[in-house]
Order: sequence, then C-alpha cells, then structure tokens
Amino acid sequence: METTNQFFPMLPESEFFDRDREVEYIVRMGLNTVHARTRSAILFGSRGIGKSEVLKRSYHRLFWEQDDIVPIYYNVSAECLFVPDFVRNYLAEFLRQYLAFKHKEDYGAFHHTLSLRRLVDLARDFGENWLATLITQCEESLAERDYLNALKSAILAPYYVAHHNDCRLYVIIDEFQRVKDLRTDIGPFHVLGLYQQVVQSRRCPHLFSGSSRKLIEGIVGGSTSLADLERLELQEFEHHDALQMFEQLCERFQVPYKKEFLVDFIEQIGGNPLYIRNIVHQAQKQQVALMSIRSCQTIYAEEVIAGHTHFYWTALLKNQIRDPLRRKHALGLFHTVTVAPQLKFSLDYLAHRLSRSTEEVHAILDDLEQLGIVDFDFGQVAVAEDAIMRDCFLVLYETEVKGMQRDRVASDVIKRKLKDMARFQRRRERSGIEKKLEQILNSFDCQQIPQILLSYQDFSEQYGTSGSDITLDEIRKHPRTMTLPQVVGTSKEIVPLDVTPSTETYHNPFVFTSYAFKSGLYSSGNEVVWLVELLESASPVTSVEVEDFQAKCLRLQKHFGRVGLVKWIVGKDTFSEESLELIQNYNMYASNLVQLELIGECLSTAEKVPFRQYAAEAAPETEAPVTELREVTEFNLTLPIVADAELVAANAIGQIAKNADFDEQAIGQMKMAIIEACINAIEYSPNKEKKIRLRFITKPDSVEVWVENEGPPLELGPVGEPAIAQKVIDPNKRGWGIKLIKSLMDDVEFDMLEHGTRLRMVKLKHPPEQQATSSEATEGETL
Amino acid sequence: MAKFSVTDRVHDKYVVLYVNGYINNLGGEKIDERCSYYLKKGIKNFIINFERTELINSVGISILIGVIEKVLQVKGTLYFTNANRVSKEIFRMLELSKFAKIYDTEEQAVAHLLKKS
Repeated sequence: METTNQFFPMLPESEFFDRDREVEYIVRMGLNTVHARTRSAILFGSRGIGKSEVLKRSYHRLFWEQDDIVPIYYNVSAECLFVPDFVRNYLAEFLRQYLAFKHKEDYGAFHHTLSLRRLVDLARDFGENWLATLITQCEESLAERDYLNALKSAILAPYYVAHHNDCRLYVIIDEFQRVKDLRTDIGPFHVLGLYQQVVQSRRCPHLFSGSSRKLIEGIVGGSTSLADLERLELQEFEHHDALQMFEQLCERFQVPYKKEFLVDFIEQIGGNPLYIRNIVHQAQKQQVALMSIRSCQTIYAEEVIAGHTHFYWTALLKNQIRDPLRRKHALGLFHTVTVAPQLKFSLDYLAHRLSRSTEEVHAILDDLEQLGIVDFDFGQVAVAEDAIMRDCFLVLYETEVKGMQRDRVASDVIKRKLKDMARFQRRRERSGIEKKLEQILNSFDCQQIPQILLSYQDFSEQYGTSGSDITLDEIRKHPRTMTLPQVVGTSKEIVPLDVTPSTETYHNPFVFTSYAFKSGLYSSGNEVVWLVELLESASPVTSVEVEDFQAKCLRLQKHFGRVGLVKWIVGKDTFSEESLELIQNYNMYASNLVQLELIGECLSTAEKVPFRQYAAEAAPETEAPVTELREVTEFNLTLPIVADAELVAANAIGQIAKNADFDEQAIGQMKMAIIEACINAIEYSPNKEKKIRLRFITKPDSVEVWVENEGPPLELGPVGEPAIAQKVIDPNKRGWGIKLIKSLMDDVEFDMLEHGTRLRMVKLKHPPEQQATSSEATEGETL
Repeated sequence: MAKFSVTDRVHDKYVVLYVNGYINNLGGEKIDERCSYYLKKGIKNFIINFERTELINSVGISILIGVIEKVLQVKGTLYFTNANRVSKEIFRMLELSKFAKIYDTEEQAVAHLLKKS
C-alpha cells in the first residue's frame, strides 16, 4: 500500500502485520454497498488490537481504488463530546471527505485545517448547494440551542446525501462508544435511537467500531436496529503470528533477542500488536537485548511504568475521567477488582469495600467499561483479560493513589514478572499433548468433522487398534459428520456461569473445560460445556479410569445447571473392551492420539474467516422466552457436485419444513428456492471436488437456510431484473434464479466470502403481507 | 424422484404433452424436442400438462421460454395446464402467463382452443 495520499496517519508498512484479510473484508463490505448488499455492522475488539489501523487502511483503499462508493471515516474524539463541537466536527469531516472523494484530483485542497464555514463555501463552489444548505441549517439549530435537531441532522447527513444525490456511502465511525458521553451545557445528552435510521439504510450502511460490543449495541439501540447489524470481532494475533511479528520488529529495530524469551513475552502480554510494538520500541530505546529473563522483565517494567503503553492507558484514563479525585477512586476500584481472588464482584460489595455510594461506584464502572477494561453486567464486574493493561493500572494505583516511588514500583513489577516468567517456562515444558488438546478445543468453530474421530470403537473396528496409517483423505470419506460448537474458552478452572462472588473457582487439574455455543449462536439455549479428560498413560484406558472420569463429570454437573455437557475422554493409544462398554453407556466420546491428530488436521485445513462473526440476533436475548430459544434446531447437509444434487436439498427442506408445520405451498416455495440456490452454488464452484454446504435452522416462526460454496464470488450483476418480453427474443434465456429465490422467500441475503459465496434465506411461517391472490390462478388467465 | 419423460396425445389441431418429473435442463430439452418435432409437422397449438411435475427449475423455465418463442414465431398458441400452485405462482411471477395461457385442467384448455379455432 502506498503511504502517500493519506488522509489519516497510518503505521508504516513494515509495522503493519497480518491484518490484510480483515482490511480486504471491510473493503468488500464497502464495495458491496453498490448492490445494496451491505448491512451496517459493528467491529469490536480489545484496545490496541489494531481496529483503527484496519479501518483507516480500508478507508484509504476505498478512497483511492474506486469511484462509486463515497467512504467516510470519523474517529469520535474525546475532545469533541460537547454536542455543538461534535456536530461541527462531524459535519466538517464528512463534508471534507465527501468533497475530496468527488474531486480527487484536488484532494489536497481539502486539508484538515479547513473550517466548516470554508468547507461550506467550497461545497457551494462545487455546486453542492443542497448539502451546504443542510449544514447551514444545522448551524442554525445549534445557534437556537436545538441540540437534538442539530445532532440528528449531522448523524443523518450521509443518509440524506445518499438519497438526495442518488449515491452510495460507506460510513466508518471509530471509537463509537464515546458518543455515549455526548453532553450539552446542561448535562449528558442521550443519542439512543438517533442511529436507527442509518443502521437500516443499505444506501449508506455504517460500520461502528469500538472496544465494547455491548456499549455499541446499547447506543445503536432498538431491537430492529440490532437485528440488522453484522457483528465482527477483531481478535488478538494467534501465538504463531504474534511471534512472527515480534521477531520481525526486533530485526527491523535491531534488537537482539532469543526466541524462547519472545515466546514467554507473548504468553505474558498476549497477541496484541500494540503491546508487541511498544515492547520492541522500548527495548530499542533502552538498547537492551531481549536475551535474558531479567532484561525482558526490565523492559516490561519500564514499559508499564513510563513507556508508550503506560502513556496510552494514562491518556485514555484522563480523557475518560477528567476529575483527578474521581480518577483516584476509579484506580482504587480497579485495584480492588483486580487483586481480590474472586472473579466477579457485585455492586453492593464494591460500594461497601470502597465506602462510596452504589451510584458513585456505578458511574465509575461506566467509565471503566467505556475504557474497555471492565465488563459490568447484571450487577457484577469482571476485569478484562489483558495483563499489561492490568499492570499499567496497578502501577498508576501504586504511584498516584498510594504515592509509592517509581523505583520501588518498578522493583515490585520486575519481581512479580520474574515469578510469572518462571511459571511460563514451566508451562512451556508441560506435556505437548495437553497443549495440542487445548489448542484443538480452542479452535472448535462450528466446523464439521467425521464422527468416527470421536468414537474410538468405530475407529478401531475400521482401522485396527492404533489406526496410525490412516490418512485425512480416507477419514474424510466417512459419510457421518458432526458439527462442532464454537468454543469461547478452555480452561482447567471450572467457573460456572451462575457463580456468586463467594463461590471460589473449582480447580480440577485433570479435566479441560471448554465453554461453547452450538452453531455459534450465543444464547443460553445453545450453551454447551465440553468436559475433556486426557489420559497420557501408555497402557490401554481402563474401565476404572472411565468410571473415575464419569464420577468427576457427575460432581461437576451440578455446577452447570441446565447447560448441556459433552464428555470426551482422550487416551494415548488403545482402550480396553470394558472401558469402551462404559464409554458407550455413559454416552461419552472417546479418541486416541491418532484420532486427536486427525482432528487437528481437519480443523487446521478448514477455511479461516477474517473476523469471528456473530449471528444477527432477532431481539435481545433477555426478551426472548427460554422455551422459544430451545426450539431452535439445526440441520447440516453437505452436497457433492453431482447431477440432481439440488433435489437432495429440496427433499431435505421439504421434510424439515413439514416437521416445522409449514403449509404445503410454503414447502413448495422453499423447495423451488433451494433448488435455485444449489444450482447457483454448483455453477459457481470451480470444480467437482468442491462441496456445497447447507445449514437449515428451524425456529418457532421461521426456517433459515444457508447455502455456501467455494469459488469465485457470485456476480449479481447490475440492479434490475430480467424481463420476459426481452427474454423471449433474447438468445440467452437464463438468469431467473435470483428473482425466483427472492420472490419465493421472505428474506434473502448474499454474502461474498473470501473464497466463495454464502446465501442466507429465510421463510417465515406468517409473513407480514401474505398475498391473498398468490395461491390461486383463475381459469384461463393470461396474466 | 421419477426420471423425466414426455408422452403426447396428438389431435389434428393441437398436441398435448404430458410431462412427468423434474423439469431441469434435461427435462426442458425433452419438451423442446417434442414441440420442435410437431412444429415441423405443421402443428402450431400445444397444451403442456404439468400434472405429474412437482418441481421446475430456472434452467427448465428458460427452455420453456424458448418453446414460447418458437410457438410465437408460427403464431401458434401455448397452454399450461394442471400445474401445482407453486408452479403456477412461478409462471405468473415470471410473466410466462403473458405468452402461455394457464388453465387448471386440460379440458378447459382444449375447450378454449377449439372454441377459438
């Protein structure tokens, strides 16, 4: 990417790592606006994870690489939260970027220092009188202190422009959660509901970005808006990518290092690119080689006490909480929730502990939540899993609240971290198998795997007791597959979700616990916990060991209430006959290390998606009765590309819809629609080796069908539908598929994936406007 | 699902084609083939009876449009009869019914055709 012609400062190319797929995804979302296929979305992820950089790069590409979609990027500044400032700043940025895009040859003329007044004059010069008037009216509303109208007009300005000028815009708003703090001279100003209209617009969809999904959803508000939102999470780098970035930066900045210490560093600070970059810069500044535990921890301590990371968090804290006294209370509160042994804290407990009112504690928690460092929900508080952030705040607490000397604090940090390092080193030496198992569990993400890999009995019957010669290709021929859940975390510490603050974690060193959601749908009805026992002994797994695991599961069961439990026992080599009998009786999965290896291979060859994506939620979970959530059923079907494969899908949907009590006509419509969807998928698959994947989700009032294929993205072509009069004389008489699907189903969406297309279509049991005339043809009609 | 087949009943003024099975590219081509055959023999009016057809896809429809074109070229008439509700809905939605008359039964179509001639 060129680094010139930038509207916003961006990282040099050599320091931007491994986010190209994410940039590509957002650029595609922007480009798809031209076909009205892009929904508004939220992008969330921890602070420092690289959201802003990804967004600015996406904007930059959208600006320079095409002329159809007007991209707008706005970063909500903590300095502009007074409503008149926000309105003027937002409009100025919008106008500046809009005019610059429309007149790219003169983009240099639209620099940052231009005032709104000057930009309005320029808009008039370029014939954008309507837009200039809109902004002038906003100014008038501000002058009359009609803040609501001014803010509404500013927020809707891109929407109005898209409709008035018949163009498409893609609006990216960064640090969006800050608009929660908008205020006027008489107090806080709530924006709830003001974004609903833009969220639903396909002419100017918005991408809202911030550190807290919950806060963004809270601001966008309204169940209708939420249902329309696509949700994307930018995650930390995986270990391997983080290490690669660390090494490359060390080489670039000539910081000598030993790989094993970088590995430990990553264990310590995670895969956050901001932190990795800051550590390397600190090492370069101090001219310290990362070649010993001691030197690494010295650099770490310097970074959290006086480095970029320290200043980053300090600046954010000061921006968020301007009153120094309140800031001290916030640091005290953070210290309490971080150093105490329990994982969650009630509001009353904190109020009592800090001798402050619950209202005051609540307000401080709101601030900390906006910083993205605590999660405050259902009256309980949890601290973000970010070790370096925690240390930065603890250092601030010790220096600013307790008044400790920096040297003493540095010494404490180094001491603590040296202990941590020793722990990391022990962990590095732990069983490779255990690590592998944990990795595999954490990579469960709704993939399909052959069921035989979780059944030692079937596996050994087919391939002998060890099965070591079997290849992945052979395994994949097995017709029976199962869909894994989406795991959100794996640990050895059992933390029941309904734990009270007084309940300590249940430590069980012999069982992995993976928290997961079926189909990746985050609702209580889909919650499932995998309990996994690893037996590394070389001898066959015995019935005693299975009984022992079962007993542990029973003991743990009470902690999980109604949540579904899945039991999986992993042995090193073989299982005794008695143990297999018990495994069957207790309804457990069982695998040996060969199967485990194959599962790992299966998962590693599955397609990676750029963001963890979340299904749109029809309504906030709390509003949906539990009984309804439990009525969601999912079926998966994989079709080979063979003649009439679409009929298999049609028969499947026929039976599924029949079971779900749809009427005959709706069933017929769904069959026709799915046939068309499969034909499209088959036509766009590059070769016959590929498969078409279908997913059927039945809900009480609807059936949702996903059809996904690999290959070049489906080209929907220009807006417009085939006309019969033209087709009768046209040599190419095809092109009816999309029209048929859209007419026969109630909601249809195409998502262009990195390596293919996904069609999602929904049939409602009771569509809002059922056409009374659609079912019967009159005699002899020539319509 | 049964293999696709077309049988026909020939009258001096028209032909009735009984289609049986899923109308995709292969099914559509068989219908087209039969129509072309009778067009060459000078028959201009066709009744296609869909009683034994449950499903039809867009490729099949595009071939039916080809049949419409051929019948229109000789100023003939095309009737679709006995189609199920969803197929009728599709014919209407794609406006095939502008060029082919839709009747619930074959008898109704025959009566109309004979009355017209």
